Amino acid sequence: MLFPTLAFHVFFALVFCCNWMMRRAGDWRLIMLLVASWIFYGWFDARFVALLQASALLNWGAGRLILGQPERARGWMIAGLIANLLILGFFKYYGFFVQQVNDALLAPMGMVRIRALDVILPVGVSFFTFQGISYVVDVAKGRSAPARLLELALLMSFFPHLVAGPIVRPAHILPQLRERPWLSQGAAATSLVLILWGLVKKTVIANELAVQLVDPVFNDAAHHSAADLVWASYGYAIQIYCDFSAYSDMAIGFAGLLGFRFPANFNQPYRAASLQDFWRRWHISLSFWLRDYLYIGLLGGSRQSLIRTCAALFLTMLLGGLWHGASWNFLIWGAIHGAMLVLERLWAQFRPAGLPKAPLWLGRLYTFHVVTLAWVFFRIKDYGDAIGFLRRIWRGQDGAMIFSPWTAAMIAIGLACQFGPHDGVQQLGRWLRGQSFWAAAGLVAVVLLVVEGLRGAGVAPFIYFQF
Amino acid sequence: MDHGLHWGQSPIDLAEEAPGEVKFLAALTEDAMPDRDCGALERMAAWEDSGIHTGLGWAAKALLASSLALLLLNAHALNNWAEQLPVTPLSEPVVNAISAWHQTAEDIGLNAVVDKVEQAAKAMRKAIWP
Repeated sequence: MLFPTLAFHVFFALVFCCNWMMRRAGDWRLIMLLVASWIFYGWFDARFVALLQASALLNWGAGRLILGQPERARGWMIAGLIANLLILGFFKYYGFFVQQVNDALLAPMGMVRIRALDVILPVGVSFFTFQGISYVVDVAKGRSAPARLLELALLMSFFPHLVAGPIVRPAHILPQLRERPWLSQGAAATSLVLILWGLVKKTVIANELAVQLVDPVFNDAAHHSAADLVWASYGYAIQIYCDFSAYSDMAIGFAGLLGFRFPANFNQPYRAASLQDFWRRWHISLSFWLRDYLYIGLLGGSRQSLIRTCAALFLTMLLGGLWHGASWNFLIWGAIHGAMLVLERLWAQFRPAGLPKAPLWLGRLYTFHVVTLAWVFFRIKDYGDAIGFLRRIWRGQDGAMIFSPWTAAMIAIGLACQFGPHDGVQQLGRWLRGQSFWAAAGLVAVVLLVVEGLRGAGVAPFIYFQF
Repeated sequence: MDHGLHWGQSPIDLAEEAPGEVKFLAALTEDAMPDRDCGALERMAAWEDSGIHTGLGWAAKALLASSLALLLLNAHALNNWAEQLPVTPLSEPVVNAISAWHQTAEDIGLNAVVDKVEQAAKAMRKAIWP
């Protein structure tokens, strides 16, 4: 069930009514939200609802064992982590691993190849597995209160964030599950603004860029001019931002209308003046997760020698790339980010004292182009094709030009979002809060009608659904 | 141990609506709570005391009114959805009714807004550089 569809509109209207009618019903409200979340997830593929339930049970059990046997807490935590990673590994990396073993080891030695199973990737498996890991680690480290099975199942399955985040922390959400929901007019208005703005970003900007520019150029790079390839690369940078941040905005908005507060997941990432700054603004919930559980928690963070810190940084980004999927190109994407982050750290350490500081605009230009270059490897699945794509740009290839004023306008709007006021959504929320419900309803209806007219045929799934 | 998301960390948090200092619940409310071992419970009381206007009725009425407006003015979406339904004895009358409503809306001009935006979008997509 995609957010910008009629089916979801009806689904959400029912859940909204039930949620607020049951606001004094304690656990019954949570049960209703849990069942609704399973229906939402089952809409994609009903078989995987059992996986979601099993994953919640597993993490709840690990939490109980950690607290019940404090002397073996570390062992149970590691066991919980391994179990989560096995689930993720099987569904996400088994096919890739088998192919690599077959190609690199068995085929050259003339041995019988391992038969690859046709494993279907459950939607959002990376997101709910990471949430499970968060719970196990946070309980073991005393950062989160233990949850009841119902609470943990809902924390992991709650439909607004289930398939594409934000990755919410147990310590942020568990207390909210235990308090009676409350909705201020400001929170309701700001949630509506987030939903509408997310809808525009996804169904208009991201969809138009995908259909009119990015997909045709990336799928047939040989017949397009170098200028088209460059514009398509910029277009993809905007498309993936508008697509993914739209999902996060809508998720936060829908959760907000149900009385839950989710953390921010994007903060105008393309105005970042360094890669380090970029990762504080892009997919914030994942980058903070990687920072807390991997970079600091497992690899030691920055309180060690410079060499080890740089290695930890690089490895974190490499694994962050691998989190997106089993492909060499995701590893290359992670490696580009990791290498540039390491270079930035070394530069900060060894920069000659008398050298003037680079202007802000130059930092932003550099960051945007490094990120856009890395997106080329993210977008093109095959390494050779990605290198070929960059070569065609380098050689100044002649060919067709489909970059149009319409797609230019979409890129311009996408970029303008980065440089508007950082609290634009809250300002609009404050304005909408002061309006009558008739005016709010009118605004919602007009935006949805305009979106319906602009979005053409259908809505493509969100890019991050595949992760 | 952290209790809940700090105010301002969610995009829906408006600075002036911060619940302020955590207050202890009144005895009556405290009794109604299922589990006392969770610090953020007190926040609700802090909100309710601070005079922040509740938005539930406002949001519910806005969602209801906008849904009705869309039902009236966006028969295309309804028709697209109906066309994707599997044909069964149960769905057939629904599909027929929606199709009839789509035609009626077309005849009396209720689809005009979406149609005009669609035409404008088509023209803008075809625009070329001077």
